Amino acid sequence: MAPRIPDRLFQGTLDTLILQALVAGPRHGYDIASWLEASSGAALNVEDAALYTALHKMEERGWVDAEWGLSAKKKRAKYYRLTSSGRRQLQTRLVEWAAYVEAVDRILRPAQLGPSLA
Amino acid sequence: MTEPLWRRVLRLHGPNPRADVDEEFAFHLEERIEELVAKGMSHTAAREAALRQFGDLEQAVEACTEIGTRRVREVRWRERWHSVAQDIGYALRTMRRWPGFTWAAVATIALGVGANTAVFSLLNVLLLRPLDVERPQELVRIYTSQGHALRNDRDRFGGSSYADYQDLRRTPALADAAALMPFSATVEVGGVLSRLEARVVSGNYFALLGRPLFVGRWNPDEPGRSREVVISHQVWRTTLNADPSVLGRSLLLNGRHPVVVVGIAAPTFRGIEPAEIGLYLSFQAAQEIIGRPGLTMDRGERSVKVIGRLAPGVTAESAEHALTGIMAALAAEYPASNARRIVSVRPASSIVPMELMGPAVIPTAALVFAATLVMLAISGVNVAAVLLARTIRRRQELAVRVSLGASRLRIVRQLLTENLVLALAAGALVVGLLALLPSLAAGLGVPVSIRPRIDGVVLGYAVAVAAGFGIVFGLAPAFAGVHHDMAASLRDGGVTLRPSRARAQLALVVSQIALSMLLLLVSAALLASLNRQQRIDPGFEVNRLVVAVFEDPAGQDRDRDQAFTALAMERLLALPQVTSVSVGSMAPLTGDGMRSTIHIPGYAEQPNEDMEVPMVTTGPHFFQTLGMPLLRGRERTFADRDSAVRVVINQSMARRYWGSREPVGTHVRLGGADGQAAEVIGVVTDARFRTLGEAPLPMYAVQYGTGSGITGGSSVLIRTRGNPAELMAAVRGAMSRNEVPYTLVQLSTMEDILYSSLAVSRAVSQTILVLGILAIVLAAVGLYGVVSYVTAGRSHEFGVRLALGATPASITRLVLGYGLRLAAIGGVAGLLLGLGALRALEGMLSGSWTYAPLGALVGVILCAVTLLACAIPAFRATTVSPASALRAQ
Repeated sequence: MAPRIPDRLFQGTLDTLILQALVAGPRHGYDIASWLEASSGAALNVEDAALYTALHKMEERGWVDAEWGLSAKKKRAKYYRLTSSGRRQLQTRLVEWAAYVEAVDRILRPAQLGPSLA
Repeated sequence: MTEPLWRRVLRLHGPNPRADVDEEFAFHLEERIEELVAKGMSHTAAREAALRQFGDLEQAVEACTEIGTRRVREVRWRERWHSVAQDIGYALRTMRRWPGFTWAAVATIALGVGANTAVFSLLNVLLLRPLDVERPQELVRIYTSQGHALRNDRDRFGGSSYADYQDLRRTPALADAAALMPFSATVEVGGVLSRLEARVVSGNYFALLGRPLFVGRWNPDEPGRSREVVISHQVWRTTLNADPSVLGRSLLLNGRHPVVVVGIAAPTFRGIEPAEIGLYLSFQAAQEIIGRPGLTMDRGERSVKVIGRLAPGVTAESAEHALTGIMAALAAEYPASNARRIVSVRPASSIVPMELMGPAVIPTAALVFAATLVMLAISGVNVAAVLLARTIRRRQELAVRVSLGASRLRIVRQLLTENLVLALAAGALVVGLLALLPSLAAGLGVPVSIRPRIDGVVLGYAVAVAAGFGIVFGLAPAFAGVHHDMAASLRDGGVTLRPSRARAQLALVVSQIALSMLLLLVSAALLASLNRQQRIDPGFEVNRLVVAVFEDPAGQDRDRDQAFTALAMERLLALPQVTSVSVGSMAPLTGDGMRSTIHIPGYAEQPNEDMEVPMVTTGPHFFQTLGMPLLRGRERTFADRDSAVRVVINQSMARRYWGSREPVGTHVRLGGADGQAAEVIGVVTDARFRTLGEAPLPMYAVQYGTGSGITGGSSVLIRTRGNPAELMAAVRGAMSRNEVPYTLVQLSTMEDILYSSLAVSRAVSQTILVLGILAIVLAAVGLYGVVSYVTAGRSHEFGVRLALGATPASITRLVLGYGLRLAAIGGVAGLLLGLGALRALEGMLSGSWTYAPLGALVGVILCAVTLLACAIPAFRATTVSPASALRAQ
């Protein structure tokens, strides 16, 4: 099992993760939480409060749209869907993330290996 | 967690963010609990775990609710704005669809709003606008007056002495106070003599107002610097040609007093009076130049105006209270000059100070403003009538929109928006035109401090009036668009031409006639009053009289004065066409003149009776030159060689103070019971000496003779047997080579003075006449519209009548009669309104009135206008072809 990742590392990327969760189609909040947990192999421990606050903020910015619908168990649930501006946002963030990871990686990986190992 | 019933009910009335958040989170927690229970946890443990995993539930609910509420509000605004924008877009399209109508409506509204706003902008600058200085709300004007001699509030606003000012400014109630005094100056620059309006001011004047000099420093109170002066930016730019080395430049003031320019006032400095001041000098300098060493010491010399700045937290009332204490102490210390002297403090709220606010200013302003309000109402009613007619023509279109699902309220709102857009377009036009007003005023030579300015207040007023106009006069037409049988509109094509439907239009056109009658009647009364004043016998002979006012540029000096008067008499009497010459302190109808206390032995004064009576000082032959007959006794002539001062009183004065006693030969005392004794030598007829409008007041003349060197003033009266205009050139010529350097400041015929003394009355009555004419034209257009409309609706009936043998003349009579009936209703209402208005204006109209001729006059005008307005519809009615009228059915 992968080591648990501390909150401070992914706080800024929570939005990106939520957007990514919606790429496959509309989900309700619990579904997003479960998906994040499952996809990260339980390495990410997202507090539900933070998740919902982020969702509502993104709804206000117009990145996601919300609509009430029925869940698989026929209960009323609020479903979130990516808007086109949300999709654009996700694209930008993925590109930025790749560049970020590459840059950080280039610095941190040699340090981890260390010259003594060379 | 189920949603409480009340929340579900609320949800029916639109989005409820709090309920949504609650429901969403409840769903989440239920799902989580269910999953954990399925994994074998107890329900309680699962619930605890779910809550733990959620984190701060309270805070999340709060945050998400807030976001939701914000969104709902935003969406609501966006929707609202969207529908308003839609209405505006629709309104603009409608305006383009009827360009002629749009232009006519915009022009009519602009007329009403423009006239009203223009007058408002004048009132704004004169009465409403605060002084253009630092923290104007702290400034007060400080007056002193004779406490026992107050006839009305206006008498409070007298000047102060410089010595009193120095004592008054010490109060802790004032942060400081400045003194200023009028001074007229000439400067010679490059051989050109310019007259400047100057002010003698205390050294702290600019600092008190918080308006530092543009350049330079002015500290006249420092030793050796008293002859330093400040000029206005305007004088620097024009008179001194923007001389870059002006600081330190020496100017010769009034021909012989060198002063040094050490500063230029700020270009935007407008002062605290409705005058354009060109030069500022110190009291020390003025004292030396005028040659009166007592100017700053003598407490009886009260020509200083005082402006103060209140200390923090002090009101004008409490400052007056504090100053009253100081004034009482001064009265005890200097009883000769200050006994019973009281002080009044008033906020310096506008550029026109209290003492210049004549008794007629406010009523006159109110009258003109009221007239423009009536004009505004007339243009409003006019536009409302046209809008109403157009709305009726559009009923089919509106009915279609309703049947397509637009709510009636929405239609009303949209029609109202159309009317508002029209009115605001007119408002924009008005603002554009008003922007020309300041340069127009500048062209007319209005002092910069009272030029109308288009500031935020005026702009706001114009927009508010236009918007109010659009709403008030747009409501009825807007409701007319939906309050009718819409199904019928769809059926018959919308245009229902039945006279019974025109009731609203009838009411509008009748009120328009009534209001224009009101304006016409008032303007007719004002013009008649003006005419009467012009023909009033002023009590002296106006024709063939010339008035020349001279001024000693060096200030008052008794010897020079006597030399000049003697010279003027000699030179002018030598002119061939001149029959008589005299001098006086003032010519008739040129100002308020002086008042001076007189003691009349034998007359029992009431306790505290005001014995300050209007007076003039004159030389010999004064009344002869004016052509005023002496009823008893005589006046001084050149033959009187003695130096005694003699008094001539007028008829009213004799009646008031001597009663049945003989005044001639009695002795009065000038200046009070212990004043100089003077014999009354004659009684002259009453004359309207100060204004044409007022009834003759008691008045007396103090006459100097040749023995005392002839003084009495510098207004020279010259009577000629020829043409007074020609005489003026001769007077100018005779007085140009002049050993005594007096300046001729005014030269005019008495006829011109009489004419211009009525300038304000004339301007007011002409303005109202123009408004009245515009109003009756608008009313005629309205009448034409409604009569055409009704006539068109009855064309079938007329066709039938013609077919049955009616003559065209009888049809004409029918239509004209209809128009005249409407006009008669409006006319009678207007006459009643007008009579009420005239009663309110009684004080401004001279003489007693019979209103019948005025009423008859405007009645005739109304009939003529009505016949004119109905002629075309009447003619059209007679040309209806009976056959086609019957076919149309």
